[in-house]
Amino acid sequence: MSAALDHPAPQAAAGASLYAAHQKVYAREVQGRFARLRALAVWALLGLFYALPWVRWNGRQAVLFDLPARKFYLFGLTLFPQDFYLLTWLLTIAALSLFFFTALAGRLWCGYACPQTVWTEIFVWMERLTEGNRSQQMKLDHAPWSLAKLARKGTKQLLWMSFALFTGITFVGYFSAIVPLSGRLVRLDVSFWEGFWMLFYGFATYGNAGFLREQVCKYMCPYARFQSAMFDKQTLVISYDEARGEPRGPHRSGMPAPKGQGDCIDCTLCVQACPTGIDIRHGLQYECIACAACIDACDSVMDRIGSPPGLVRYATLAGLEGKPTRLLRPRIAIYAIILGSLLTGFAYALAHRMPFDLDVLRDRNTLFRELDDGRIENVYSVRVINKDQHPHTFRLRAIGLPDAQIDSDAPAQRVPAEEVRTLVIRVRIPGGEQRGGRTFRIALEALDRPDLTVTSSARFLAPQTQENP
Amino acid sequence: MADDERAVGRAAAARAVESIGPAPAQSEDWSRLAECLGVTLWTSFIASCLETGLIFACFDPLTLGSAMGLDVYVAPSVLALRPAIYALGFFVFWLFTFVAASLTAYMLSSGPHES
Repeated sequence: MSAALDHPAPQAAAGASLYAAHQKVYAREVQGRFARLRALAVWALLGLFYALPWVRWNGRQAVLFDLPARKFYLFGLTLFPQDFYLLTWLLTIAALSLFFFTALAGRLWCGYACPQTVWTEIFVWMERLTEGNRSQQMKLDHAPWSLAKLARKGTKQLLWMSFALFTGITFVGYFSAIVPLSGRLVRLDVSFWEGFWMLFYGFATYGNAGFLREQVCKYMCPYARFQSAMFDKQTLVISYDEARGEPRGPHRSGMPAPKGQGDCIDCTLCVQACPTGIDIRHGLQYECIACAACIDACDSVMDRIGSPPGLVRYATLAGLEGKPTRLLRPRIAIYAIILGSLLTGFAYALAHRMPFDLDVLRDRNTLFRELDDGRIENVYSVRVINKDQHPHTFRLRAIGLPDAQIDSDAPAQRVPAEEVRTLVIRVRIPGGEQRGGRTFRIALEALDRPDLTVTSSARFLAPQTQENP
Repeated sequence: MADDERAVGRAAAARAVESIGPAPAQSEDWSRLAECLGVTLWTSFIASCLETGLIFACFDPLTLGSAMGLDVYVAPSVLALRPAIYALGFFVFWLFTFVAASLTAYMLSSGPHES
């Protein structure tokens, strides 16, 4: 490498002027259209993350995962652990969306929406704020320690750490109501686990966005490794148009390419702009997170030298080979259909979610009991879950068990809004009706909503023979 | 001629890469150990997040406690136990998945196919 550097380059003067120009172009690079798009994504996503816990809805935190009470509040919706299937459903939708967008346009997720990218963007921004642009940062890193260096580095660390801690506090604010939490934080009166998770999440943010950065994508991210399985020749990926760019070499400023030379002036701005440090001109590489910084960088150079933009651009492999580009293809259609039906199903399930639920557990201590009057009794523990935002009074009924009666301490059970009540019920049938075990259903009805009934199956046990239970 | 120019191009690229001057920690390649540790910690982290969510959505630790004969519904303050159990559960899951992941990494990298 040093031998190459010592190469007596005939274009040394041109190279030097190009290098000087790099800084200017580099400064403008952050203003490209993809950089704007990413800045938008960063602000929207981080804004959402930091603002959401403070949003109120019906007098309480709009989004709160109340782990101690095992209730998830999502605006007007209260989810219980019984609704966990909705979450797994949502995860399936998320995974399929990832497949869909990857097949369509490569790693859109990585470049714009991944928390790793989004937080790194903010940390890099703070770094630029305190240490200047890349060459200033490099100079600072190589300079001996001085008061000025200490001040710059110290300010950066202070910014990073406070932001990371703020991130950790916000994260815990999703699980422990953030308004009282911040009050307790001021009085340094947070619980052990609250404090622990604040530091844990804060530290993870600080380490990942401040130090690990692209190494997470390169070494640790599983998606980076298998995303190529979703690619085909019709996937839009960030590519260098080799046919147009090669052979590369310097041009005179403002002049078209010399004869026999491609449009790439080898300014290496695309390499400098790359957060993962690769050269896009070597083709698609797994380190590429598709942030499109190289497109912005190259477009600005093409603009300067008077060539059309798009030497580095979103293109399909087929398109680069001169074949027709077909974005709509069976793979995309199949992903879209599955995704569409999952989304519709999810919306339907959410809209038609039963406002109450029922769990039935047999009493494990006794199989059955024979009462003095000859009836057979089984005991169950029943959990009535009122997911609705209004209180309801419920009644229980046995289905599929002839002449069965349900006896409990309170015949009609009133359950407040979003509460769970556990009650013990005794189901009795006349003696001699039944031998052995039998499955039946226990139905839960709200007195004010007779149209809605939830049932849960249970097992009723009776003696095999009348004489010898 | 073209080769010569490519060499110049490469030199310029090399110069540029050096002039970018990323923070020292960023440009270094990870050692094999760091890579193994990073990967196994991260994959087991993701797995244990999912496990924690799934297990504790299906089983309330306090109900498990009462099923074992502990009368845990007595005081509301006991509710505060839940987050602690979730957290401990998460770390136990992480530990086990990490052990499994590192064993997998070790065995795959030292097996007959590798040598």
